Amino acid sequence: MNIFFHFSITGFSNSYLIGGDEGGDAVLVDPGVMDKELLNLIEENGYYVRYVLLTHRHDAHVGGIRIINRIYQTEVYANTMTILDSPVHSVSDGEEFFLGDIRVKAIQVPGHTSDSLVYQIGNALFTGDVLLSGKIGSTTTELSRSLLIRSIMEKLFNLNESCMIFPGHGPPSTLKAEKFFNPDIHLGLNHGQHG
Amino acid sequence: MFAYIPCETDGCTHPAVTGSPCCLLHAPDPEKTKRDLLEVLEKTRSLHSSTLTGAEIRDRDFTGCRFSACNLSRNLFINCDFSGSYIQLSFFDFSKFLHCTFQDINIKYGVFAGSEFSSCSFADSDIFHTNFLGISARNCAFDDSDLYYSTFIQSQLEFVSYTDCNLNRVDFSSSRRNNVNFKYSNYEEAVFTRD
Repeated sequence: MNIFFHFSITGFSNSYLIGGDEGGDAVLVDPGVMDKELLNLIEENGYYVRYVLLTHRHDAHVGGIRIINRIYQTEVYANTMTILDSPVHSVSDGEEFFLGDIRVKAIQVPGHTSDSLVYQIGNALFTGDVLLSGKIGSTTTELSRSLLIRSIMEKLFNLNESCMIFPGHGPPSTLKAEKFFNPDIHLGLNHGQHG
Repeated sequence: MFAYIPCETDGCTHPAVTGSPCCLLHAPDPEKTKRDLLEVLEKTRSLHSSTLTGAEIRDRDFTGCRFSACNLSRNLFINCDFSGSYIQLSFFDFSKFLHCTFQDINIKYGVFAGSEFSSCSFADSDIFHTNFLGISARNCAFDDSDLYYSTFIQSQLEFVSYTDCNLNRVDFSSSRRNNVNFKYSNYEEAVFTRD
């Protein structure tokens, strides 16, 4: 299985293309923008975007859906019923499913948005805006921030700490590094926002 | 790629070294296990989708090598030369680098979180979207480098030079800096405090 990064300067967001070594059907995570560079990445590796995983509904992560649906016949997965008028396979917390040969587990981690999902594929976590390198996602209230920190602690930090994190913005990370060094988590704990 | 294959030893959670069913700690001949993988790298000057963790790697010439989708975390690198190398989507977290050279290197989506650097140079390099979360660096230089969207959150930097660097969207928040030089760099485009 290969994982390719695509960075979009429109929303400063990351998309991820996941596929086998020999091309074929591929999974695209958070297509914020469908631009020529991403299309070249897909085509040059012999992929067909059969599946799309959306971590949450913010435009920086879903903006490319309409164009993708014009080019490929895709199945879109998210924690909602529709995204930008496109029908979606609604996924719930803890649900496991296969996309071709790729096994996916969805983990709901609310706080940044109510529909935020983290997708676990093997040892890789696609965290959207829930958990970034050295940060957590932005929230609108102290209550939602507290909810987000608690959700991260309960649902992500109990996973194997060798898990790799592929966030919606910024560089990749590991769960171990975030446990040790993420100041947003530590500050949240120090201010008694957890438990 | 990124398939987490654990060491076959009961209770061991470390990843197996590529080409071996065991981690380095439990390999029947750790030196040979390490040597075999490093020989592949030295011959082909390329390492893809490989794992080697917990090793001491000393006096190696990795100039011009390509590392992609590799897990090289928790290693000790002493006097190694990575000049002119290309590192993409590879993990070097929680490693130690003593007297290593990364001059004229191209790193995209690298992870060095939690690592220690002493007397290392990253001068004249392109280091994009790379994770230096929580690093400890002493007597190091990043001079004349482009560090776009890399993160040094929660890092401890002592006698580190970032002279004439592109620091656009580089995050130094929560870092401790002592004798750190940003001369001629666009530090006004970097992030030093949390909102």
